Amino acid sequence: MQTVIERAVESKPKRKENINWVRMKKMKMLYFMMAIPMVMLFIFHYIPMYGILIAFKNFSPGLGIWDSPWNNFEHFKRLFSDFLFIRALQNTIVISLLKLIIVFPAPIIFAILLNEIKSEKFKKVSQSISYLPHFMSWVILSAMVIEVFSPQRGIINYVITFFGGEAINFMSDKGSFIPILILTDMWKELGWGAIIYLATITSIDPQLYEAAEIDGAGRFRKMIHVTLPSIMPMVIIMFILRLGAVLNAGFDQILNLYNPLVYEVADIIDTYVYRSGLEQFQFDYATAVGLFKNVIGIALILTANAIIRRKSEHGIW
Amino acid sequence: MKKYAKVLSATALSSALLLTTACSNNEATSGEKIDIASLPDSGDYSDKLELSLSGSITKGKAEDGNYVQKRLEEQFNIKIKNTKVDTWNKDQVNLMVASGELPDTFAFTAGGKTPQELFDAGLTRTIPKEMLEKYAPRYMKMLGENPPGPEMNLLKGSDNEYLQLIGLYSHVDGLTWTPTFRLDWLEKLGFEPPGEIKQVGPSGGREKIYYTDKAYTLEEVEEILKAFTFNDPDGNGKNDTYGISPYNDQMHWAASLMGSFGLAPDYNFIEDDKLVVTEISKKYKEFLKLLAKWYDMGLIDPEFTTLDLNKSWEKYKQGKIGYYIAQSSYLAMDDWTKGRAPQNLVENPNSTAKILATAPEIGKDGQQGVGSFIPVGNLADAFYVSKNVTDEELARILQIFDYINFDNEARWTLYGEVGVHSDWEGEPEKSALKVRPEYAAEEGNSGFWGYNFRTYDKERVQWFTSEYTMNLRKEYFARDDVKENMLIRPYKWDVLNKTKMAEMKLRYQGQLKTVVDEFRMKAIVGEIDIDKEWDKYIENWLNNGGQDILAEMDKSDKVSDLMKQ
Repeated sequence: MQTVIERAVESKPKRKENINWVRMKKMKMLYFMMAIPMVMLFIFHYIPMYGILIAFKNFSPGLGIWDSPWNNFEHFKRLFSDFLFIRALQNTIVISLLKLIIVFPAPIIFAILLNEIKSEKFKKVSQSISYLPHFMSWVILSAMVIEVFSPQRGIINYVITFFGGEAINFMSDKGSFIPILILTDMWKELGWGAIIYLATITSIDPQLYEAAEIDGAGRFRKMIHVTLPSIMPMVIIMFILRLGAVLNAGFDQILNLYNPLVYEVADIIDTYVYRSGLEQFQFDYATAVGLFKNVIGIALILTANAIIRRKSEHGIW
Repeated sequence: MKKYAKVLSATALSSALLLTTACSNNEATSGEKIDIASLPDSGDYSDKLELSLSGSITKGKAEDGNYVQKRLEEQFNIKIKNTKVDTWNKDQVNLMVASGELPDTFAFTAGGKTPQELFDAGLTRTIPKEMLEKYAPRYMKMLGENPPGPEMNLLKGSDNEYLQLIGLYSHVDGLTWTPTFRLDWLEKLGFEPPGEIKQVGPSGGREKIYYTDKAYTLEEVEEILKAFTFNDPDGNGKNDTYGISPYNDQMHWAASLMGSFGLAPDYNFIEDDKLVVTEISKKYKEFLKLLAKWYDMGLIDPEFTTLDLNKSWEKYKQGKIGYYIAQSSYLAMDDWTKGRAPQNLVENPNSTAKILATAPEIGKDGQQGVGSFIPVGNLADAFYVSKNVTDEELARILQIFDYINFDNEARWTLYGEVGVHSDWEGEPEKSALKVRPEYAAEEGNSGFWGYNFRTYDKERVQWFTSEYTMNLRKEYFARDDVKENMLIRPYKWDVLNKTKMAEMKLRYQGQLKTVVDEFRMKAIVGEIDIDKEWDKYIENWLNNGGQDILAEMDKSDKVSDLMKQ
């Protein structure tokens, strides 16, 4: 015969199940609302993964995915036997890492500095001005950038020649092209990128600042010892997500700014594939390129997340 | 992200395709023997058929029930399903192909697969010669008159199954490009035109554009460019003009300059008893050296490295460039050329600029010319029939195709009735037709051009060409002696699909174009020493697919033989 305690122990999970079920029933509308995006996610993001198969096949639309013949990794062999693809891969990594090192911290610093501005009006104007370039496409921005750096009409060359120097064709110079890419990318996304950090800063408990003040901390100390540590979890999440996109070095930006003289340093995977017309009707090859980029991206996310979890309590999951 | 989106959408549609192809009962008859006697007679339209049609101009804007649609439906007893896809948009075409939702007829403007590959991929069906003879006699007559027409586009291993239909390109017959100079600058600087000059037209800016069938030599051109650059031709007291401003995305700007070396981009010829492609030839090396010299002298606008074609037109419009390449219709200021250099300089009625078009520059050995628009003959383009089209449907499609594209009574499919839908721009039958503003010039409520293929005999060319352009073509661009002496054609070309040249070109074009573009630009701006880097460049070109392409080219027929057939 079971004791009262034993019965209680046995019936505990059942009660828990009942509680969960009751709770779910209570929130059925919320679950229903969640189901819609989940179904969409499944239909548009998971079912199509079946199509990844064509990266390993000679895809023929007439035969369909399954009946198209396997091609013994031919697309990947072709990718890695093309020295221009290898060069594009190297350029992609270099540009992306430079952007990660230089551009990624910029919105964080900008958000922290913006937070320190006392005049609300000046703060709002600064924010609005910094958001503006984000809403313009690279087609428009590239025309502006090319004009600014023009050897004949550009303001920079005007200053150089005014002081007796020789005009420099910055946009066709391998040495100056990458710094221009980095700077213009930073200019375009600085304000927009700062929004998420500003939002995080507003959620910091004011008592932390008060406590720091009591301890005698000035504004700089508060920035370093309160604001920065408080937004660090968000910084880490953003960093890991950015790492996942390391093989996307800025297709629109580069396509609109580059020219054959700077291919050597600026031709990235996306521009090379686009220029080669390899995507047109070559679904299998394009899928192989996309798969390669995604695999690298997910590997970087997993690795970075694992390292960060080992060193701290933050991370994506 | 854009790339990811494209790849994902392609894969998404591909997976959808699996289902559609699995479910569909494909009754195509590609490559199989046709019992022609069992098919209806020509002109027998007793069975009503539903056809989804698209043509060369289709941008998905044809309204249902449009004028041309109604008349075609009545005439051929069909129900037309209009194509709602922009066949000029690469992404839309890609998705359409991936989904397998192809119209019964199509002529995509952008092609990334050879006709054989489209057939092998299960997208198109073949068109039997017997059916063409029975249902498209005018088309077959046109093929017979344009060698090697009947032998082109045959399915591999067959002599009576065509992979596609082809168009007659009379509108590009003759020289496509010719150089122009700022005539007001020439006059100011004391340069005489090379021959007698004539005005292109009496008004509308054409009175400021002149032409001559004589040419300057390359040495003379160099002197002119020097004066354009350093002798202040615009008289503003500043050293702000340039002889020539190329662009970085195409090679048209050098069409006649290359011609003075006997070259045309991508074509091949015999050099030192070997077949070579222009871009790896010694003559090309000399051409690059000349441009590098001009760049070093300051005759070439250094900003050209950042200019694409459109930006280059804008740059020319600023009035600081003396030399530019032009087509006959640019000189005649046809409507569609608005904004394009060099005519954009004289569009403004207040402009005092004048332009002179000359024959292509004469090179060292007296060489002069421009690459032909089409390597062999005047046949080009592709009109496909979807794999899902049955023989009975094909019979009807061919009759419609033959009528609207090769019977000039069917002008109404392009311009409606003259006097009702359109009017002659100038003298009837000798000027272009203009659609009245209440009707859509293409597709829309009229349906004009919505179902036609890009194929034009001389009469059709007149319908969309101004009398000024026609006059220029007659007087110079398409004159028989000009065509004979100045059109540069390749030595060998595979128009009969005997080799793998087309597949090889598609596969390696990205690599080879990058290698060639980089070397050319670096050579011109003096970033590399052409002599020192040449061998490395050739090796690079050969190792990146060039060798395979050359080998396939070598197996091809001689163009001179093909043209004789």
